[in-house]
Amino acid sequence: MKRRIPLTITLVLGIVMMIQFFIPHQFSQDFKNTGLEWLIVMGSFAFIIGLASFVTHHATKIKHKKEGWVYSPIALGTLVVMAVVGIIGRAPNMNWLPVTVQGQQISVFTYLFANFYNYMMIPLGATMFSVLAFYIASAAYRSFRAKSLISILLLVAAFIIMLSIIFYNVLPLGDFGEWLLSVPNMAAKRGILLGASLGGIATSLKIILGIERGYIGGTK
Amino acid sequence: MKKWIPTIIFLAVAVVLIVLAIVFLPVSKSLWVWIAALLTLAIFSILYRDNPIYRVAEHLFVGLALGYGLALTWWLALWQIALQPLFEEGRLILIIPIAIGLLYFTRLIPKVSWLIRIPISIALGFFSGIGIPLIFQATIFEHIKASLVLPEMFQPGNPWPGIWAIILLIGILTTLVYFFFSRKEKSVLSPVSKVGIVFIMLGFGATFGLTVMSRVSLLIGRVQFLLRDWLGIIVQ
Amino acid sequence: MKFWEKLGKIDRRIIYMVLAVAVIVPLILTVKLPSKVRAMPRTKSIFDHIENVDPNGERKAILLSVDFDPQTEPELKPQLEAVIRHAFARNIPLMVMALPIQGTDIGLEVLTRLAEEHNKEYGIDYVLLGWKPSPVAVILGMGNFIDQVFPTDYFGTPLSELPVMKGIRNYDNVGLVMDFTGSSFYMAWVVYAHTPYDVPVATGVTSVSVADIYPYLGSKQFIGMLAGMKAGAEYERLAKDRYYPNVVVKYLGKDSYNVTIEKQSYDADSNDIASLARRFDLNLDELYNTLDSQGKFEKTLVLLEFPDTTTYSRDLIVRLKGKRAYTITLDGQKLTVNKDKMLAIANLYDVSKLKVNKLLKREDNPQDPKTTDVERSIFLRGTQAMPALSASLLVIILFVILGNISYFATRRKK
Repeated sequence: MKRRIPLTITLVLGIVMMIQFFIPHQFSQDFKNTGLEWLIVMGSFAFIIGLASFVTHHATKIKHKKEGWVYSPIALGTLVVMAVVGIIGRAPNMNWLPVTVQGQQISVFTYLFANFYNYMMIPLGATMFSVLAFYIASAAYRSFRAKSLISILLLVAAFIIMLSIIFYNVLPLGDFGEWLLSVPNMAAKRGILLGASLGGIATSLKIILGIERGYIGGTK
Repeated sequence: MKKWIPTIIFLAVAVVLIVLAIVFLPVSKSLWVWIAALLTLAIFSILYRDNPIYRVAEHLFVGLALGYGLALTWWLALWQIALQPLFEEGRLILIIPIAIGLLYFTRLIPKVSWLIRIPISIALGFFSGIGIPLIFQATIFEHIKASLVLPEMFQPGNPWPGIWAIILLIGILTTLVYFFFSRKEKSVLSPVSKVGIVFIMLGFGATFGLTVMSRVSLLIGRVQFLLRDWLGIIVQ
Repeated sequence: MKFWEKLGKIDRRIIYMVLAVAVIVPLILTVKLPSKVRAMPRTKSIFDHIENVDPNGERKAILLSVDFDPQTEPELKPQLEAVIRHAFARNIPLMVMALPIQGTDIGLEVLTRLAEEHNKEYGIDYVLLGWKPSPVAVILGMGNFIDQVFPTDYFGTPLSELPVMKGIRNYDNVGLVMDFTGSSFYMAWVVYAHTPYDVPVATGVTSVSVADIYPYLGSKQFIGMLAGMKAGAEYERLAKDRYYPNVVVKYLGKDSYNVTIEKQSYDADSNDIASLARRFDLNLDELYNTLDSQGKFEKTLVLLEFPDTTTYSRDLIVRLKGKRAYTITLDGQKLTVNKDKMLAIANLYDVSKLKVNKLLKREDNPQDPKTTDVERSIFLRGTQAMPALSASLLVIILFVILGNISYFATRRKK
């Protein structure tokens, strides 16, 4: 029962939706549109999965005093502060504790929420990724070795692309980079795309038919 | 004590530089810009070595991102499309999807946690079913169509589009051969898959070059922020 | 050969320092590029599409989806800004949304800033739809009705109450869907928007996915692509050449500025005038008459003394002027807004902005009338980055070469 119900739902809905695609009748369209609307409503609740695992992860860390547990209260605390400030600050017509920003009266919560986002979350996130530039430079020095014909090919292609960006105004080079992208690269990427799509469709079919049932694993 | 010397020197140099900046540069007078700049530097400190300042900044980000998501989910999703239409507009039919959605909360109750599979199975079934024909059309049919070599590609005087189309087709076919038949050590198709690997390596090489560019761009974006918005070195 | 061995064991922090220098120095020196950034065809095709998004004066909106989060913001925000500026300059109804939740407020920040710069009004010229869960359902659902997915905008106002949404029901009324993404959301737009609803789709991506997009460009499923930071620079240049004359402002002392607007190389066409008429709810004939009587160069010159708040009229005047360059002197004291002359008044909006942003800063040194190049101030964030990008890529190429030399030199010895 715990397995059969979900599997049956997936099977029936999957087949119905596949057939629906080929029926342009109004009823079929209405069914699809209602389904889409409902799925968005249902999807609103899915955040609880991520939230639950985040809280459990950090709570266990604190409880068992695992390595680095001292940082967990920071993560949990920021989560609560940001959520509260946001839920109050983004409420329609919110005007609690007004402050004047650029001549406009807005709630201090709205003000803080926007600034936490623009001046804390964005710089942190953006910088975390930009650090990768240094790692890739270091890897360029240490690991990219032209040891075999294959790796020489790879490096040559990479050089051509980078040089075509550096000297983008030198026509032949820029055009050669463009050619590399739109002929050999496109061939490889389209081949991969075709293969991956076939694989994706096969996986979808497996899910519908209940052969692939990873999503009902985990809890029994 | 000895192992702390580099750290102390590093911090001292950083403090001196910041003081010099405040004295000699048109630095930003906004508290928020300062917060953003210091957080940026906190993340960059990982480049020297793993340190508590970095870890704090990292955890701040995770908390902020999730808290932000939570606040927006409440207003933009739960309120605007579920609760408000239900309570204020009286669309009672929405009780059904809301009830199913509430099953996600069974994740918190071990005894009935299997019920979470119901909303998941609905979403999976629906999206798999609706996706199969569309994915087939968009990523297989359209791309096969676009790979065909047509006679009109060979214009007298400019045969190049046709030649490229032929190379493209050869590349696609050999790539596919490489992917589907590369497991067998020696087959009739192994020379073909060797041609495939040439295309694949050129493709991966292009991606690699572009990835380098991407990461460097992100770095430039942050440095632009530090130099312009914070220190005011670059005139806007 | 010891040298090579040592070189092979160089500390990673030295490598970091070299890269940092390669990024910082060109930015500080604000190296000027030798010539203009050449727009790639894939960039130009998006620009051209937006230029002709509303043939015959049909009201069509542009839907932009901010499908990136803070992590890839530096690469994608210049693209987003360039496209929004273009849409604002052309007065195309603009809808902005997000598929990943973290992108929602990036849209808010950019729109608020640029709307102020272009004097656009929320709800009339643009709308922030916000975010909804289940990306696939969102994309498919908007093909039925946009307000089925977004019953209200980000702030909770019902879409039906917003003038900008008038006549815009679903993808049939959307001239272009464009997503900006650092992951694979672009695929969702091809599969679930372009394939079933046949709406034109374009994408702006980080350089990482550029190579993967080419198959879709080849199959014409995307009308174009903005590739990384460089495409931001390319698009900035295209929009600037078309819509933003090069304004050079000289401070002459005592609230007086010398403003030079450099030549433009395009003329008004019927589409522009039709969309203008729509903007002000005017009769088209009436509008043509206004243009005829006001379109003379001498009159314009007079009109330019009244900076107004519409970006429109600026376009118009500039277009009517065709290929001429002209210089005017603005008296800072007389900068007033004349609402009655809404249509005919030349928009020197940008110039008045300049006064606020730049020239007031120059006042601390009135003895030294400096020339302010607007191009650098407002528009070209991406362009500014290009020398640094070139320098750092060059450094990385050198790293690969040096690393290989030291590796093979050391190995041969052994």
